[in-house]
Amino acid sequence: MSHHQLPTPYKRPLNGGKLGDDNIDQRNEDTFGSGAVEEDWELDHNNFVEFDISRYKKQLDGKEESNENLGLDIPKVIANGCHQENFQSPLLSPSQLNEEELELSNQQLAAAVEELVLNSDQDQDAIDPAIVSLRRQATPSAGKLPASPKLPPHYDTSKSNQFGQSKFQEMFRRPQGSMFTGKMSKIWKEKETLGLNFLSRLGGSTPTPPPGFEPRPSSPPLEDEAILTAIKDRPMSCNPLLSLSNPLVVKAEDLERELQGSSSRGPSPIYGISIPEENPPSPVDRSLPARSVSPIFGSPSPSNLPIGTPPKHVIMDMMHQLEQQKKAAEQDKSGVFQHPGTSGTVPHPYFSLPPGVPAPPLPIIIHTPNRPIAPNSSSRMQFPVQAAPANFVWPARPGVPINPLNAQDFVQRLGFGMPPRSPVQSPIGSPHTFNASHSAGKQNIRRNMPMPPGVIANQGFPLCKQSMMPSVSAKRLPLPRFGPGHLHPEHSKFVRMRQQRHDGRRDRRHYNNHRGQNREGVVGIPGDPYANIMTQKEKDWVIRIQMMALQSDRPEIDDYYYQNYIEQRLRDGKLNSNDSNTPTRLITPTKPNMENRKYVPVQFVNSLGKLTASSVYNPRQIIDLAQPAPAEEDGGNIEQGTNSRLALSKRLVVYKIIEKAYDLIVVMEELQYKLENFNEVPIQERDLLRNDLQSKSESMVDVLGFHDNTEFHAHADPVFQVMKIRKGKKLVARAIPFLCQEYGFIVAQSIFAHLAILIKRDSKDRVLHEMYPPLSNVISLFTAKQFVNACSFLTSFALTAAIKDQVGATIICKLLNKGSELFSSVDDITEKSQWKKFVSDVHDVIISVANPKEGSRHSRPSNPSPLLEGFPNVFQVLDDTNKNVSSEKLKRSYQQLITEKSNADGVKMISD
Amino acid sequence: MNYMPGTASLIEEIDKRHLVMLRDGRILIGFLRSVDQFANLVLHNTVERIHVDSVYGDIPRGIFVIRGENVVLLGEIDPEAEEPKNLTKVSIPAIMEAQNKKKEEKAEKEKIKMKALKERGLIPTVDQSEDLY
Repeated sequence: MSHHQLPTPYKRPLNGGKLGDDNIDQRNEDTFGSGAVEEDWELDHNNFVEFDISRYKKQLDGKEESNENLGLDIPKVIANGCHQENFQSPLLSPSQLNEEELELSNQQLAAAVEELVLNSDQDQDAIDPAIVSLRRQATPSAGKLPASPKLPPHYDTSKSNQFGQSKFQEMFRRPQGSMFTGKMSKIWKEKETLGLNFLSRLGGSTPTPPPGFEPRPSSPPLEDEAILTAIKDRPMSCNPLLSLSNPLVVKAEDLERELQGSSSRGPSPIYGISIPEENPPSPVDRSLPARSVSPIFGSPSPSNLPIGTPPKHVIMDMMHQLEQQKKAAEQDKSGVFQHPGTSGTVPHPYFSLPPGVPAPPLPIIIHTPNRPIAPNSSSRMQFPVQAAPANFVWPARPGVPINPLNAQDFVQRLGFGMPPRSPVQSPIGSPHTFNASHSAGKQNIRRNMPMPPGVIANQGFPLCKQSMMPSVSAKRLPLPRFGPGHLHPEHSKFVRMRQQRHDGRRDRRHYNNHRGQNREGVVGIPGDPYANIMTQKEKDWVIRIQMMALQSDRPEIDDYYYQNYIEQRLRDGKLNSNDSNTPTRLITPTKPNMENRKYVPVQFVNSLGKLTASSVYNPRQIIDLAQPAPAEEDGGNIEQGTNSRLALSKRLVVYKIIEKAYDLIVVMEELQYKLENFNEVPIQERDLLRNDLQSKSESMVDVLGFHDNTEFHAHADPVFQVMKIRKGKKLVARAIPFLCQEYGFIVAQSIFAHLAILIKRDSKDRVLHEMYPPLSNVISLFTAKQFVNACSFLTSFALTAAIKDQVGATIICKLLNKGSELFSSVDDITEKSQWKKFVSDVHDVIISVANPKEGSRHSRPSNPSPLLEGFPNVFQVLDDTNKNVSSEKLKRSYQQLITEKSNADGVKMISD
Repeated sequence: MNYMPGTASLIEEIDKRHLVMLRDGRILIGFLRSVDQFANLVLHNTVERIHVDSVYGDIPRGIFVIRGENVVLLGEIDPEAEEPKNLTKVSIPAIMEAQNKKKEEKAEKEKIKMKALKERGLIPTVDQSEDLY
């Protein structure tokens, strides 16, 4: 039985090899809200793996027949890593709890739950309200390995060689003799090897013992870490045998059954325990999984619970036992219990021993952390049954006084067991709300947990008073929120009482079932390697989702029939529990006030008009957010983005440009106004203003995408993008006065190049005329070269559209007007010929527009252009330049365009 | 009287052996391993149990993931009472054969019924009995 080479249970969790699972976690967060994936699953997994192996050894140990299938299943079990709960039951040996401490811990529990509910609600701002996030409750120490639980003084690992090992060896010889056969040990070894191999494959590294657990060749076989881990379960598992059969004969089935049964008795650390990080790491930490899962739900006990009855009572029992044991321990001051108030035993609720019966070989650990004890004192390990068999009265017996059930009531409402409280700071509790002695109560619970034998030693750490089992620590499991209307307090009390009465019977039935299944070779409840594949966290999640529907702050309305039913039953006396004198306390998690919470929607770049919050219903919406389009600085390339997906974002970019430009233009206009109208402004300040205006103009140039490029490119025209939008047209109209002629020319080019489109689009906007005055100014400043250049963009199509439109016609007239001025003095033949060509084009267009051909889709504009009247010389220009066309026809056409058809006045005016 | 709301009540049934009846009439027996809020189920070591008259047979199905909406009923199996006293277990081919035979008989019966209805001028409706549990 020497397995020193097997340090697996103490192997450090492997943190490497994360693979792509981060993404999965991320998705979980998207769906369940932040905090849903707060734990390092891998760490947990590895811890579970470690535990699994030890557990397997234990199981095989207890079995008389070696099940090959089970053995083969080990790797699967390891992979599942879900057997944490088996740890719990023996962890608490709560005999030392006195009432006050219990009450305090209950109070803290209530507060913890309340806070949990409140906190979890605070996180829902950004996520679906249906999801409760738990991240808020995370404390820095939470979610990590149980790095440094405080050890009770005598848990000095350094001296474990002197004391703990030998003692435990001694203790375990007896169980060995009775239940471990040589065959079993062989199987055990095989399993270990199997598990080890798998582990090393899993972790990619050979397991090495942690510092505190170097293999010691001379140490007895039972110092094997795996065994030590298993031993922790042993004390409790041995007890019930006595009540079921001969107390002295430990049968494998009994053991196995009890392993299962006991595991379902342990309090579940639903609320999680945070471990102070400042404490020095202890080898104890490594022996157990970082968190353990409540075995209450899905506990492998198929028939010991009535259908439809959640196993909440288990915790009630546990709570009850705490009190009972505490009392019993107090009665036995003279016994082996040096400090009965704090000494720990792991009793079983159904365990009873007639006086005089020799004690079974139970490796029960009793330690007294509060008082220093001689290192070699053997009194720390006692067999409590032996010490005080008659004094132990188990709660299942009738007539046993029952403590106030206030906390149990609450726990019952939660549907979960009371978790062991953190020795220091609970991440969810609010210990500050209670008095100082409260923490002592918590410590008592903690202290009572048996420790691995290897670490039981003298009090080396005076400051480390609490032993900490990693299985009940570090990992905070989500707390299901139970609505206030869940169970009527009287109802829950009644259920609890009933369950307590029937526990014993159920247990026997359970036992029988197990035996039957074992015989059949079914992958059954006791050795089910696939049990608890669904982790407690997952179970809690489901419960929480379901419980949300029960959240009600007005149960009389929302749950009318249930409330009335209970009231009626109370009246009829059907729900009276035995301890009716016990004041029932209804502990209800406070419902957070939703109205007072400020809703702050999540904002993302480019998220305009899109869902940005993921939830159960739209978990992946965030992905749909388009990538930011080419930035404004990249304006020249905006049009090149042809990706249809980018169409919207392109438009958003234009919107942004316009928005930015407006910010500028408002300031610029203000500055301009100041400069023009406040003549009394000192010159210095005027210069400042002018400079400011100048810099703003430059930024405007940048914003509009001109940059250094004074060349106009029709295919990459940011100004046109802006002008396509109504606001943009207004913006350009306002911005042109602030731009130098260079850029004004570009704007004019842009307008001319897209005149037809602009006019067409303006049919709804009706803002194009606002652009005319500034554009007119720009045209007025045209040079001959610029003029020719600008006019080259006016195709006959654009001219046709322009002539039909008031603003367009006005622009044409302005151009003709300006051109006649310019080219009267220009001698450049090329430019002059181009000018003449332009005038001829306009002439042709005017005639064609005024005299549409039969069947042509073009028709005369219904709205004449009175703006043309402002350019009396235009007709002359047109007439002079086009000698080949009869001026009479042009005159008529022109007249038609600027006035109502055949308006005599108009003809008169033009001829004048 | 004490129970959890909704499908949360299933959580305490986890790792127990359960019989699940599906909407299509199939009966699955396996260890319930996982549930969610929709009562989607994961059964492990599943067998499909076919009853034909007084014989029955189990077809191993392994892991069975059941969409919750297809569950008609779910109940825990009492291991002690699982062996039916008045039923005899037969091999898979035998039970399949028996099932097919039963099906054919039923189809034949339906056919006759349809014919009779038609003769009497009644329009036969589509039989949805399989889906009306």
